[in-house]
Amino acid sequence: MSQPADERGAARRVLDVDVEGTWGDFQLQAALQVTGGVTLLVGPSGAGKSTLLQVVAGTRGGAVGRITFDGRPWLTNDAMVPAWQRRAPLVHQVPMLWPHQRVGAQLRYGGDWQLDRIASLMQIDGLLERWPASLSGGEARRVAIARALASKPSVLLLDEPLTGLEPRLAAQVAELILDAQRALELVVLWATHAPDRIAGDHRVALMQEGRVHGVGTRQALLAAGTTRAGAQTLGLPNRFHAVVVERALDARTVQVSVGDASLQVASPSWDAPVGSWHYLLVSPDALVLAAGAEPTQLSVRNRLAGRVTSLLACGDAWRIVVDVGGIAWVAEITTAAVDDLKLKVGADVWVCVKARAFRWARAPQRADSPEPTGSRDG
Amino acid sequence: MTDVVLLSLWVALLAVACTLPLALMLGWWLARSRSSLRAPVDLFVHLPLVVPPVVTGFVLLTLFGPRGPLGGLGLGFSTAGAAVAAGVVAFPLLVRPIRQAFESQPAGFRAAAMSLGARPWRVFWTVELPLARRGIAAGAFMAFGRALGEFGATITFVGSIAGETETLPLALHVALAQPGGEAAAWAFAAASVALAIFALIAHHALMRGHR
Repeated sequence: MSQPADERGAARRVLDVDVEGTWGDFQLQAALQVTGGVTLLVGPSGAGKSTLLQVVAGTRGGAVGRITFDGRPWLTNDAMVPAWQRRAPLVHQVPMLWPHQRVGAQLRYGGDWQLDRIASLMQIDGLLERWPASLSGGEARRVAIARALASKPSVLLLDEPLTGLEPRLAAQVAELILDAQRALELVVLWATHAPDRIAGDHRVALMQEGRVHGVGTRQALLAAGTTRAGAQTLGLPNRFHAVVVERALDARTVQVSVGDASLQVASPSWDAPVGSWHYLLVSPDALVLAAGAEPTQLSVRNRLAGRVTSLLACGDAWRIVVDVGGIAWVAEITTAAVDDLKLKVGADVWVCVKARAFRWARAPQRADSPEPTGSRDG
Repeated sequence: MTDVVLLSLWVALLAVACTLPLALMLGWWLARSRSSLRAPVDLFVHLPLVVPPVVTGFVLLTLFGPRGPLGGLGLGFSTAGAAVAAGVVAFPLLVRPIRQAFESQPAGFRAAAMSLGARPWRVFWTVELPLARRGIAAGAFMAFGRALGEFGATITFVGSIAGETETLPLALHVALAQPGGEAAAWAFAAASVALAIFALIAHHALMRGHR
């Protein structure tokens, strides 16, 4: 797998982390290497993402081990370089803007590196005279990120910076962060539980129960036979083992079986003969749910009958787990849709999905699959 | 009468002003420290609140009195001594709101400032102290009010010397002991209550605005 193009400018800036520590009954034992570009730190809540980020930032003591950045030690067994010398600001969902300073003054607090450019990248030029209390949630996030950027951070640490934002706004802020990363050649370590909402094939570090389980691009980790739990961690709960049953004459679609269900799916970029096994991935928000009689008047090619087994709140949306012939499909829909369909556990629903909504991943045992740098989990 | 009120205000002001830096340091430390010394220090700071003021005055007299080990400071039977007595007694009321003001600041405020390259001293001056200013002012008014009313420690430590150490409560006490002093006593009492109400209102207004 090729390295992301934006890595060249920051090639020498490497963050090397190998730490462990115990806080209460939580144990962290994490090793990972972060180079230029964006690295996503992915894992369920409680996996230790926030703790690891605080240890890297230098705002949480009690860890032992070694952290180096660009060859300089940040943490050794007998010394801890304080946070103000590391300059690795951590931005999380609470923007932590000081209420007694105007936006402009806060932006300059850590320095004024590329300040005009950062202000325009984050689209906060017009907010400099405002007090933090008068900002909207999205504005406050952008100011917090800009404040961190203007200090010329060695590493920018993001801890779920989009949580709680309305989905469209979250996507916009994510894009602004990625733009800033490219424009300023930053090293970014970004913890998230929903990596499918961040565009681009970034490096991913999988985290579970205080350990880092593997580092690679998302595609590489998936293709390398990451287990179902790992796929869920990657924000892709719908990952199915599928066998090709029939190929259409025009070769644009294939008929596959997932459990008992038969699906029409757009063909993969590689040759998929009848009888070959593959992984099929589909994003939870690509699934449409319908209640009542079978919705035949739809452009969607696949309609699967199922039954709701659980409803999970997921940020501003709901994740609905639907049992389709013994296999769990996860759909992400809005609260309003949950109400409209009167969804509850045990309800019969139709899962509708377009043939083009699926992504393919090669089966793990194939010789040409790329190697991830870490071990597989599960 | 005016002399007594002015002297009282001066003693209370001195008491608060001189103890404020120490109260800031202690309040910050009590809010932030995870040292095992925190609990005993906290207890010690609160002592003057519950120990009879006469005992506090007696301790001060023993330490700073003319024959005490620190008698050379010349605090005994002076205005400065009255301020020390009032300052010590009012100290817990000064530290408490300051400590609460620091405690109520999210840890992330400080962490954010440090990660932006600010050393602890700069973080204190530019972030923590300005954000605590209401709590500091509230504590100052409360302590000021208490200092105005200080009696037991003052009379034990520095006595009641007109124009030097005779603050409102002491003057009231003296007036009551004199035949026909009731009118003066009433005047002193009224002045005390008025000043106390002012200090309390200021304290509550600042504490309310604090949230």
